[in-house]
Amino acid sequence: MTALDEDFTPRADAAREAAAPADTSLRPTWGRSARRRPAFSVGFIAACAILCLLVAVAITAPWLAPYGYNDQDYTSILAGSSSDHWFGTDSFGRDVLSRLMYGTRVSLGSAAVAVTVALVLGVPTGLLAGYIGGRVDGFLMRIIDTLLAFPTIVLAIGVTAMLGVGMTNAMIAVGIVLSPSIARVMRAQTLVVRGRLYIDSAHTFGGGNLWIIVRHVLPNAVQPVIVMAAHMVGVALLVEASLSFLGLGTPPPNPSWGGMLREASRFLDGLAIQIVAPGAAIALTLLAINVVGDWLRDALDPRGRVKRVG
Amino acid sequence: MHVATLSSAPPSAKVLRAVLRRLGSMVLTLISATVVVFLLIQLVPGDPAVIIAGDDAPPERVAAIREELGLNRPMVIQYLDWVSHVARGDLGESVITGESVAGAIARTFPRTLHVAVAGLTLAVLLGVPLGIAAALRANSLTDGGIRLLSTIGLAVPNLWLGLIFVSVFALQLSWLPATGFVPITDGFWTSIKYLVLPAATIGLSAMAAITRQTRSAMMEVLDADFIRTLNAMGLRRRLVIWQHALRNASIPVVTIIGLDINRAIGGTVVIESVFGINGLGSLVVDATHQRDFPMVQGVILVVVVFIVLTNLLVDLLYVCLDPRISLS
Repeated sequence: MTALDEDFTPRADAAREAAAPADTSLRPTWGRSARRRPAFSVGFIAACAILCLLVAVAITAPWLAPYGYNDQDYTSILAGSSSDHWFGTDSFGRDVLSRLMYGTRVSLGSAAVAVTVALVLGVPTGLLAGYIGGRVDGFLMRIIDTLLAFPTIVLAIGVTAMLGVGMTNAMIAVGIVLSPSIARVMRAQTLVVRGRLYIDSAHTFGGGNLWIIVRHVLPNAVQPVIVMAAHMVGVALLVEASLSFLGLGTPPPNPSWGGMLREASRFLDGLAIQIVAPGAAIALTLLAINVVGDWLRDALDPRGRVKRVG
Repeated sequence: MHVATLSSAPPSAKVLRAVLRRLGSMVLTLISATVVVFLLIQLVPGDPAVIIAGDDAPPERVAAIREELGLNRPMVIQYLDWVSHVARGDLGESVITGESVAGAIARTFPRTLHVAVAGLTLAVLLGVPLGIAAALRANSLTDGGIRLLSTIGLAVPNLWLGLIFVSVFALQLSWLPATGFVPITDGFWTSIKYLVLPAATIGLSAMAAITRQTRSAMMEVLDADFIRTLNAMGLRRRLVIWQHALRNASIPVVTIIGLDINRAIGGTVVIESVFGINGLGSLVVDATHQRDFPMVQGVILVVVVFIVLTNLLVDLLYVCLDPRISLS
């Protein structure tokens, strides 16, 4: 690592303070590893294990699930836990465990798609706003701040109302709703990176704006966005579950955790496994995503960790 | 370090200018919010009039709806016309029932607000003391327990929490009514009985965020030089904590409470269907199912205006709490 742009004036120090993570290298590259990695705590390992398990279940659901997600057993309707149906059956006599397993697919899949949509919309917007600056920045930030004023679920309902109810539309709606947060972080990071010496030197070498953005700004500004995207999978999962619970997301008979809660809540008059199981699945997944997201943030931003511990 | 409690805030021209700048920024946000809500209808794939009328509606009916919604005019004219009506409190009519959108919102919004405010109050009353307790006994068993509680609180979806509350406390134990709503003006205790479960649902998840923020803000302040100085001066610990530390820690906490207003409204919109409350949430969900575009736009606009205004109040509250902040 060269230290050509090391500058020890107080102003440069302040600029370095503002930059997260602090970066003094001349030739930035993709995939830079964190310098100080927080310890692998028990919670983190458990969270990773839960996430791996969920992904495995999502992929292998057709082989793993004891029944099809739509197989009906009319002899057991809303039955409790038994050896045939570990998590009981729903109001159509469908196996809750099997639907939960298939639901992992729907819930994780749609959260992943929604976050991808948010990244596709948010990253270029943030890059443009931060890199171009001036009026373009002012205009884009005004829109972004306005969108952030809406409660996530309310805006998601609004977008769903316009696009039409359905699984794909719900994913797009959640993605649209989450994109301003991504754009905001991306812009802030772009502003920091744009002021670095290596960007100036890239200009001096005759690099075009597009090349500089893609080759130099994006790789150096993207880390906090990745952390945010990790957390956002959880938000997307929750919003999708809420939409499905309200009957605006995944339509029946497709299994989604939110939809299962909706169906269970309509037919049950007490606490039962049919309500506990899908909600616990959502909560456990959110918990695991939050723990991993926090760890990622600490790993990629040493300053954040110090602050948290202090 | 400047001790906020020792200084008084003279209502100087600087503060006034800052408040005016904040008001100007709020007006711009409100204007762009109307643009966003107006443009929402552009997301409709195809012709909104055809969707409202149904696929096999006669062309005259489609044309009538298009005329009624002004969809056949240039977009800028449509916007200006719409926004001038909005400014006069006219949000249009439901395309399904013909009811005035403003009337429907006026009927339902107080219910949503009841639940959200009750939940938020509960969250502040529980979250702030818990956060302080955790900060004062940092890294102890108490602290660990409180942190675990708030981590779980952040992960438990409030619609699930609501379902569990209803099944346990209303359906199984019959302690409280399961669904329904009674306004606080129709008898305080009856109203509270209906409010407890929804408010607890909203409150517990909001509480988690407030606890976390109070804990970290409090710990940061307790670590500051001026607190050490006050301790060294021999001030009573209670005085140091409640008068000096808490006031300085309150700013980030107020920020979180401001954000929680947003979350509480969003959360209430979802859990209304759990508790059978015919509030704004039920209104917008029904309107979404029926593709009642003016109703959806009206609800979203009212929600965002409400949130922008409460955020303004929160920002102004900062100035009272901390004269160092210049509302930049």
